[in-house]
Amino acid sequence: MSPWRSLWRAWTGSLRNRLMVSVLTVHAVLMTVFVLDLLDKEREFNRKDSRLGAEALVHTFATNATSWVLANDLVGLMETVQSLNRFPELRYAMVLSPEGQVLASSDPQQRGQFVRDAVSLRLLGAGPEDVPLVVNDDLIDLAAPVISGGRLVGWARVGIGQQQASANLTDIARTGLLASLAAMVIGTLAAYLIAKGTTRGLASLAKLADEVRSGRRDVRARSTGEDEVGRLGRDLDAMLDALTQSEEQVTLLLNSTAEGIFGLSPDGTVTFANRACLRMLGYDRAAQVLGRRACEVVSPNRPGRRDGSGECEIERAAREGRMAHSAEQVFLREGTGSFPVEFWSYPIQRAGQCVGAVVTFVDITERQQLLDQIRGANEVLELRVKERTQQLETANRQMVAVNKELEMFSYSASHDLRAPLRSIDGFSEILLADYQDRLDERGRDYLGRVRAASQRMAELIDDLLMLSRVTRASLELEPVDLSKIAAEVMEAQRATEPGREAEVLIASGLTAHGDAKLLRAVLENLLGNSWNYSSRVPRCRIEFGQERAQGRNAFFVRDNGAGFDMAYSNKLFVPFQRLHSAKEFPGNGVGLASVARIIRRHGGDVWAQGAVGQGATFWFTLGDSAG
Amino acid sequence: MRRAGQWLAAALLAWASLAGCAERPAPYAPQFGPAPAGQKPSYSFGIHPLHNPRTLFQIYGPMVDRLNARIPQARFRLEASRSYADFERKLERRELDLALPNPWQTLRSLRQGYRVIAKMGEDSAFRGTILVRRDSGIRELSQLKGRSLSAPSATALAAAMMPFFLLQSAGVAVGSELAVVFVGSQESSIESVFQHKTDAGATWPVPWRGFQAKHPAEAAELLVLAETEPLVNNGVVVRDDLPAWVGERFGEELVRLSQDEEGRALLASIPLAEFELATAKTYEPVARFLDLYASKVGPPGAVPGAQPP
Repeated sequence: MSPWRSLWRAWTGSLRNRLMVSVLTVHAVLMTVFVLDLLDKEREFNRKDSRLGAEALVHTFATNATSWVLANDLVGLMETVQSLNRFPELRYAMVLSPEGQVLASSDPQQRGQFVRDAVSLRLLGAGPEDVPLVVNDDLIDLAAPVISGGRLVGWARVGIGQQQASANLTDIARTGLLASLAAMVIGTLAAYLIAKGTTRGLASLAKLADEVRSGRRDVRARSTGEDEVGRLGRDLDAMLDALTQSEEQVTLLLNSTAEGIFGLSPDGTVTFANRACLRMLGYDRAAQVLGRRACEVVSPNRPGRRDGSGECEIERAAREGRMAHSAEQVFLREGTGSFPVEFWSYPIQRAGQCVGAVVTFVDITERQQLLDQIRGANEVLELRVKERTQQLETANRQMVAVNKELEMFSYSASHDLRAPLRSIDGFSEILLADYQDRLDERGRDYLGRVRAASQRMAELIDDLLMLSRVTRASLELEPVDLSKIAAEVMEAQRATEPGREAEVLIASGLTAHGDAKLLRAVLENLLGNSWNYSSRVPRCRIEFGQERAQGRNAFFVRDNGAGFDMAYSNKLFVPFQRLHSAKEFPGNGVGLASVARIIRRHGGDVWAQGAVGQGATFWFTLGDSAG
Repeated sequence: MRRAGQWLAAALLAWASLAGCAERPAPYAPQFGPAPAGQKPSYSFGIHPLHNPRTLFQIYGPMVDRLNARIPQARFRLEASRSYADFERKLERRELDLALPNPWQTLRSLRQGYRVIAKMGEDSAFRGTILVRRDSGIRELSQLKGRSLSAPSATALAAAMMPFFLLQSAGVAVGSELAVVFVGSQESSIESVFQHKTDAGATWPVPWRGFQAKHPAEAAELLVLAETEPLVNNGVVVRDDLPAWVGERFGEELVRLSQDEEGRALLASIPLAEFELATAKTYEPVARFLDLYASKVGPPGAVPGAQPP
């Protein structure tokens, strides 16, 4: 292990170590700062003191040397220099000429020589003021000018060693070091003793916490002290009491549910199982499933098997931290096989991290049995529907054939009836023309009635033929401009009664996809009816357009004419059914029946609404293909 | 834990080592050698103690600076002497390269191998002066009998020998009737009178004018009792082993001092009107005076009244 790692572990692993190291560090830092500051101050003091002493000496020296220098009295100068020899730690003293020549020196051999080193040469060219040449812990070398009458005549220079001052500093440093070490040792020892006393209670609480973490709930600190550790122990006991009670309530709650519930760790290990879960899975005690892989316990895919990955869906969902649900799973039941279940697995999140999953499941054996029964009933029902459908299709085919025969019969009968009717009408006309004078009034009236009846009969037959054609004729679908057709129909109607006031409103641009002839017949009937049944309204109003009706887009024809009683609306589209007498309004009751048939053939629908004396509205649609 | 303890101990040792360390500066000692190559020749210029050394440097320093500026081939160093005896010893030992001795010393230096190249001008000012305090009541030379007289040195010509000769001529036996105190310098001789240390003081006009200018209040308490006849002023000599051009250039520049404003200002501070070229012959009157002095007072340079060794 690296030294830093072992130091870090020692620091973080124990309060005792932390306290000791902290005290040691504080002592080391404070004492170091103190000793360094002391040394610095002492050094500064020594330096100042030495410098002041040196300055005083060199000034005196310069003053004393002045007259000797002026007189160039080298002997006198030498005596002056030698008088300094008793000064403590004087290394050298000398008098220099302004050119750097030694006039006198404490070392007589230097007389007459010139200074040559860089420090000394600073004097040459310097102004007449003190020059500190060397100032450090080893030496103070000062030069003072020898001045007379303001002119520089030489330099007095002294070098004073600082060994004594350095020795003093060393002594102080050594003493400070020893004092610092003693302070650190004593401080660390004191910190150790304090930490030991303080952390004893904490260690006991830490041990208690470990036991609680391992699952025990019957342990307590039972602290009696009044210090922080004692209070912490009592608080911990109170927390354990609350925790135990809370866990019991949760367990009671979970054991009271009908759903099976078990918890999983992220690796799929079962960490909890409620009573319903154990009962459904066939276990007596939670210990039989706790710590086992969920797949081994429930094997949700198929009994005794897992999928290819070695994980079942429940484990995979727990590991991936996602929700899982299945309504068609099978769980193992210990010793007795398996049973169908519906399960839900939800991830348990803590601070954004998945720390496991909780799985709830219900036994769906009864639900599946019920579903099986429903499925059997459905099968029987479908069989019966199929049979009935076949029967209906057969009946329908038969009915279509009969209708076809009926239509053929109707067409043939109508066609065949037209010939004798023409004969009756024709011969009645001849009889009235040729034998008019032979017949009395009654006879002519009778013949007139015969003719009128035969003509009405012919019209009726024409309508029947029309109705038959509508039913039989094949549709020729094409785009149809309904607005245009409506306008043409109303133009024709107006032509029959040119003097009638009528307001006709026809929406423009209405088109449809259908058979043009049949749709024209539809509009002729509907608009013709409106024209006809509004003939007695002083100012009639007829409208053709398109609007939403009964939830659909529907074409409509609306008028403000005679209207009809909605009680008889079911007869509107029945052939030969009329809601008004022929005397009131002419007609034979086939038109709306034809309209209904045409509309139905187009896949559409037609309906009406009206009120007596308040007009009527007829809506029709033309189906998907024609609308 | 054990490893951590070991590391902790190691950290403590490291701390102790670091804490025990102190920065030691590199030892220093000045280095010496011969004169740097290319340095100009340096010549001493000694002036007899006309003044004390500080005053002498103050007065003659600027003049020497000018000479150095005008003669760049050489460097001249002004050199004072602590006493006449000191100065004369230097001359005797030929320690001075150039010198400004008094006339008596000039004549003596010739015997040591010096030669005269110039002299101070204004010979009329080269005379002896005897000062007394105004409050002393002394107004005649004869009143000095039984009194004391201060003088710079026995070898001072104007400030000692010439006054002694005057006193002797006035009937005052110097040494026996008049106690002579040699005080080393002109200023000390004047100061001694002012401070009542002596009754009279011998000097010559130049220092007396300087004292009057510098200390007018004190000077007002003194008066000039007598002045001697003038003699040849102080000479300028050069040692005979110096290159000839040194003496020539030095003399020329001294003479040129009176020829420009700057030079005259320098001379005024001495005070002196001019320097002039001179030779040994110029000092023959001095030699004659000394002969008279020797016959009337005693050996020149000796303390009057003292028994010859």
